[in-house]
Amino acid sequence: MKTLLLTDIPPSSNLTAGIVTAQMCRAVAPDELAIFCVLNRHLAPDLYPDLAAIPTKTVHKPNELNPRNPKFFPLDLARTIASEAIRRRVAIPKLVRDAVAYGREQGVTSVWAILQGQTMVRMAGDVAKGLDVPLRAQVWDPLGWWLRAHGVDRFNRKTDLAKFDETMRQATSCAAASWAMARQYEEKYGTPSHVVIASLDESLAHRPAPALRNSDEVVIGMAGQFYAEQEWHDLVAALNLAGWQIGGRKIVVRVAGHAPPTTQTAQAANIEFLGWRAQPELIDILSTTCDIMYCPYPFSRQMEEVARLSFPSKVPTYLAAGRPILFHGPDYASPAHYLRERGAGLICRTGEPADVYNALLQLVEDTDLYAELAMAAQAAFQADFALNSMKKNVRKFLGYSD
Amino acid sequence: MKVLQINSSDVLGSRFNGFDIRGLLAEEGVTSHHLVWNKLSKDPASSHLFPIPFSRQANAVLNRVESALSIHARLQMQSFTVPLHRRFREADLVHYHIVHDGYFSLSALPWLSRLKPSIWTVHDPWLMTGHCIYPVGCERWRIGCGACPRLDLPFAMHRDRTAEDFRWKRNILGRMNVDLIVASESMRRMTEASPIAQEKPVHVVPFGINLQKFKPGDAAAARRRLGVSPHRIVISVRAFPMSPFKGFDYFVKALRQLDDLGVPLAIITTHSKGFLNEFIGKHQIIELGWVNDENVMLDTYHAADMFAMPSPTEAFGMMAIEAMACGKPVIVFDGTSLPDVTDAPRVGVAVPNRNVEALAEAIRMLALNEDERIRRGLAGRALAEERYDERVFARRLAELYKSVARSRKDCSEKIE
Repeated sequence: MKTLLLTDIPPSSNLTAGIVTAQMCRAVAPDELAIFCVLNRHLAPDLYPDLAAIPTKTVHKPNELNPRNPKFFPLDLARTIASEAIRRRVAIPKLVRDAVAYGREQGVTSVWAILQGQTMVRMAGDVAKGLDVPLRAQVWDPLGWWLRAHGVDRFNRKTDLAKFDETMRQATSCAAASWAMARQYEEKYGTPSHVVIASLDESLAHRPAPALRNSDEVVIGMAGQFYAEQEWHDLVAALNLAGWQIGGRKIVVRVAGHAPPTTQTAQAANIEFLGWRAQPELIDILSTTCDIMYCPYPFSRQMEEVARLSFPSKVPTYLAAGRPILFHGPDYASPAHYLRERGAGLICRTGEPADVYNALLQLVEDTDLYAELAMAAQAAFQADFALNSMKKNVRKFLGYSD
Repeated sequence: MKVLQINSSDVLGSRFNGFDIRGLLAEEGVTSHHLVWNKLSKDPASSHLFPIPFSRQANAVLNRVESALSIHARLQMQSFTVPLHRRFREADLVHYHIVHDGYFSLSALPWLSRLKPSIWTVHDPWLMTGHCIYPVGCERWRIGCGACPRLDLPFAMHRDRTAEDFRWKRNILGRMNVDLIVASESMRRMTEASPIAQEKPVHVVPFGINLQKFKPGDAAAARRRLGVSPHRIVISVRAFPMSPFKGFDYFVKALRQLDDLGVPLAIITTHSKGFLNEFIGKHQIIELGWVNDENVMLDTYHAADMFAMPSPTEAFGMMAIEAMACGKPVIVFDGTSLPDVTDAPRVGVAVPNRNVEALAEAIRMLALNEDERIRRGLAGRALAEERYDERVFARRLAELYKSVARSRKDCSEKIE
């Protein structure tokens, strides 16, 4: 049994998706995998040495971003329609041919395709058909959001979404990013779905004392990408109104990730940017130098599908740090459901400054609540995000019967 | 006995318009049906007042014309079609409620009141003024209005036709065969002093609430549900800064004077959000926005140490009696219905109208004095049980319906 992993991000230590993919790859023997990576030419992934034995072929991904400028409407629209159509008819068939040839060369018996972005969606089904092997589809985020974020016009969006539906129906199994997504895809496509969320080695988990670290300052930790920019600004606005203090304690926000948060100079003293940190170090920093884990998620109606179906990989990281999570996002979001069920986080359901600050205040002033949430966070990590349970799900998804 | 209630909505204001107590009225032998402009309930006990295609669009045009002409509640001629409604024909008595928010012409009322025995609940003073819902300190309603100092108040006028409107209302009411209901003594005094309403029989029937629902509850549990931090004095208030009648700005100004209170405060607001941002970091601000869920509303009372109702003008004060029924002390302004309704100074704390310093001092007094809060809370509950039980409200209404219908019948028989 050998699986061809069709992905746009290879298993790598410096990209969030790459970290999770690497964890998944480790669920099977290296000689049971081959990777066909359609990589964005601007990315430089750091590959894991322990996965170096997996045969890999990397090709360049066609540009997926269509910068839109309403000033040049309708020429701008025509250009986008044309360029996406050309990519679909010219670049994709070539990539499919290459992937099929590589798959045959590797003797693969199934395709594991990560359906992130229009290129991967356009390719996946045809590669599996070309190889005449079962397709196993993995989804991180709903395609509609990606297409809008990459400026794909509505005509091509419609075609790509139809292609996504077709691919999902073709798939024999699905790896979903959340429980809600697994449920929805099983109902909609009839494809057996398994929840695969970024997990961590149990040895990385921390169990700090379930209390604020000291009485002088409160440090809010945040890791990962700023998808929910508006919600971040809401937090900063609330802290500005409160004078960056809470019950006489100074507030500091400590951020780790590739890109620094957008802030004004005046707040710079209270916001520390650490840059990208490897996971073990990140979890250690969050656990030992922060008090509250901040997880913003978009309220915007346009992002509703993402909020409902996706699951941020920062949640397991936060839970591993053993500190309470302040989830700042809509009630219907999948992390909100999860945290509510596990009692592992406080949910702030609006962007109103008073509500955001109030949630922080509760975590600071209500020591019982803080302890309750911190203990529940530690328990939730052990129950749901330890690497072993993820491995089991990955193997089920890939068709292993053990 | 069949009573037809005519009102703007069935669900909105259901505690004022009798929709909530229709079951209790039935127990008193009164079958009540609601004919409403905005039917929000699926209950068969209410139906659309004007189920005519395009009636809303047509009415919107009439409202614009009225606004341009600086008149109100006059041009809606569809009001003359009410007798065509089966429910009107079947009714033994018609009870009018809010008929002045733009869907009904008062001009139809004299004729309608001749067709059926009629009662009209005066929910606010609009009936007695030249245009405003509340006169907000102005006394010109006593002398016929005109030269209005506040044309901007709702229902606003572009040009001053208040004297003319006043005369029109006086004429309408003069030709009506109607009994008026008011909910408070201050409204009774106003009707007695009003050149428009003084000729009419006036009955004081305070609104009632469900005292099994609005009762003292578990404060700790409510605080936990609302996210109140421990060890805070909790003030509950309705944040409605857009209304010139609810006085939220006085509360904000009073709060500014409480920086040195010495105990941490939590302010729970309903209705609007974002108007207490200046206090973020000083006090805990819990803004619930528009609350439809009665359980959440109950939590706001149960969690509170006190309820502030700084309306500079008020015809009754339903929230005050709800808070009292939940055993919470209430702070109100003098010169409104509220000191009467809350039986201040024995139960409610009444301070001079619009006096920010006095309001701040009252908050301070209750915040620092737990015994006083408990004493007034207990007295408030007792007062609610004595005066504001919805069963008593239903009984009083039923008695009034029967007596008005009977006297009208007697009158007709005498004429015949």
